[in-house]
Amino acid sequence: MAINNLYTDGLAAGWDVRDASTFTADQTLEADVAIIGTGAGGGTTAEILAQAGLKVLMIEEGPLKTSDDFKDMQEGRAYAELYQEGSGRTTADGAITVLQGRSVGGTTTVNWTSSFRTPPETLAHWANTHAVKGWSTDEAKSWFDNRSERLGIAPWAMAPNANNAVLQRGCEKLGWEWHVIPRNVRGCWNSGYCGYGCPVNAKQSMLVSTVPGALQHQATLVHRLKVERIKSQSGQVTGLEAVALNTAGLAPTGVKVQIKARHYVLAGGAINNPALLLRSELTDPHGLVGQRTFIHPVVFTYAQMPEDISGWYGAPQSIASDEFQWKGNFDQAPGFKLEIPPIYPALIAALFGRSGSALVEGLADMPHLSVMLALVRDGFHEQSVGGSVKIDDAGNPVFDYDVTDYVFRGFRNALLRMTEAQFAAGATRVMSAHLDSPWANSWAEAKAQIAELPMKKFRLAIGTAHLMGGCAMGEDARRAVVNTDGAHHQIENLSIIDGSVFPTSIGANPQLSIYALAARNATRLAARLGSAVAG
Amino acid sequence: MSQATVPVTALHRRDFLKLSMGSAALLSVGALTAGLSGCAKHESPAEGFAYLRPDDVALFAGLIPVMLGKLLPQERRDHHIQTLLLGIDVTGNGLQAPGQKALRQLFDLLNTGLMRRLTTGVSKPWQQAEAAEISAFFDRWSSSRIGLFNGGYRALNKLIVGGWVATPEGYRAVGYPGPWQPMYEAINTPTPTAA
Repeated sequence: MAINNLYTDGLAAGWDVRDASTFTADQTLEADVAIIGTGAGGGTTAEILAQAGLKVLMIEEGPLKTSDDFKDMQEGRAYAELYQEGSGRTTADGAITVLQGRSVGGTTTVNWTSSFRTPPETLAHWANTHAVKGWSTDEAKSWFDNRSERLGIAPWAMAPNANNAVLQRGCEKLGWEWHVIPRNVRGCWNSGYCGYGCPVNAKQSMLVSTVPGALQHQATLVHRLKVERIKSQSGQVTGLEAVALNTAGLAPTGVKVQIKARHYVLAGGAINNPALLLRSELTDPHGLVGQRTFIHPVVFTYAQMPEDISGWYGAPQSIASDEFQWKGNFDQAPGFKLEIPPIYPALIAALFGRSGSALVEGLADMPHLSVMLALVRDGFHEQSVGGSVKIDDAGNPVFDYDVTDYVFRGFRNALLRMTEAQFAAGATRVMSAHLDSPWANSWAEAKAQIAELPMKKFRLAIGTAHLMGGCAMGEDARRAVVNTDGAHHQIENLSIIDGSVFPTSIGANPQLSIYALAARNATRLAARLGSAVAG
Repeated sequence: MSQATVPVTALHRRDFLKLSMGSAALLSVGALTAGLSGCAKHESPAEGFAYLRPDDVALFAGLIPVMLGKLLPQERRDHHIQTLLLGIDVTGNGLQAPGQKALRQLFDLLNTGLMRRLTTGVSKPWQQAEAAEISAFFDRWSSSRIGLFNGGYRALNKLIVGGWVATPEGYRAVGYPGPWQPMYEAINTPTPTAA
């Protein structure tokens, strides 16, 4: 059966989609609003502004890849084509693997569909500590409702796959809180291939929802176009300088594109936004750009289960536990959320860390492997100030993330709890994703081992798929780059609308947090720009 | 793989500590030594590769069979190694400049005779080294108290293991049956109306 990839019909109906790799001459593009990035923030903003009647230009450095390109259901192809740096992005020291999308739809094209509302504790913390205004749980509710409606977000109605059932069973046995994860899907086949690009357009990523929504309202999408510099004069952005990238997306073709708009929106995420601002030497009177970058650092434990898991099939994430997220002594260590990653073979193998016979012995029976992960909630304590984005001499982003003893204590707590849950669920053996960890055959044995594991970068496998902060929002211009509406504190015609404005991490997978805030701020921006026209 | 099973001699530790001022310091010593020893490094990629240089290809060709052990089938071994080398090349080529530079520094360190002997304990060029020597090098770097060596090991491991388990033979070796058939067949069956 053929899956309508949306873009074939759309292009036939006159959608304005341009591939900058095919541009043969320098050119200038004009719009009311230029949006850099088409992920959760940029896609949402583009649709709302276009529906309000503004002429929108969407700029994406990655390629346009659609469901036709995802039909092979291959992990290697996805990592090479749909992720930043071909999925090889890491922190500057190489210690933390960074999974971040890079195609039309951004990370939403490849994420695992978990869609949580921002926890009330996080919103209260932002209001109390970071001068975020007008974004309380009550004030945000209608926007979460609005985005849930737009993107089909609802708790997963089918049974969890065997991999996620391990977490549910472990929590039930131990009396821990657990819940069903809401997912942004319509007509989902429960295949589990979300991370490689959904081949049936069930996942309501920006690729199949808001970007087409914007295109239907006369927006223009230019992909394979990388913005190098924001030009400014007297506190106003005067234009963007962009370069066309070649088909592979790795090098400029030599064609330059100038962009002129009344208003500019940055939505390139927590690494690329700060890098662009720093390259452009835009005013930053308090040195905030690129600071306080948060990642929900993730650690993993591997469990051998007696039953068949085949964790590559079925909705990748359907069960989570907040048992250790908001209860605990957070002066000692951060809280964390427990979830399950899909058993995508290359990903799970790459994090395993073993060689030779230990590698073979550990991975040869992957159908019985279940893996658990903990998202550590960073940014809520003075000993958890996140990382920083800087640029190298050529303007490339360089992302440093130091792990403090405070955060390491959170990792150790998480390894302990995950192992406990996996044994409670019936695991025959469990191993931390740590170079020194042996397989343990019982919870008691594991507990003693984990207490002794040296908490060090590289020894411990650490990853992230959630990039937040670096352009913090708040009403205090000495401590925030933008206000709660996303308007830049110093530059009148510049907004930042995506996860880079979060003043801390979320404490849950961030996509719905981005959608809701973006929907509100884009709506406010449309009103602001509309009234400027009327005036 | 515990630390106790891989003794780091006093000499090694002293050398390591001298070099452990930071990754830039250590790895630039590697590059510097290469220059001083008059060992001309190929800077351009090997034939058929976009990122890996001839020495890098030789390095990985030596490391791959030992790192993968029985996950790499005997049958058509050279073909599989070649496939994986090309995959590693795509990964390296996809990195931005800072990541590419850091990896090149690691490769330079491993491909400079003196530095290789000092830091890995492997005395012969990679493709002539015994499997046991290479295996001891993996243990040494993964159990080292120096984070840089742990990091170097992780980088090599991720490139080789992650790269291999994204190939059809790698899938077979870990028991992944491939794409979920009901969906794969449905979406890859041509529509009857197609000409």
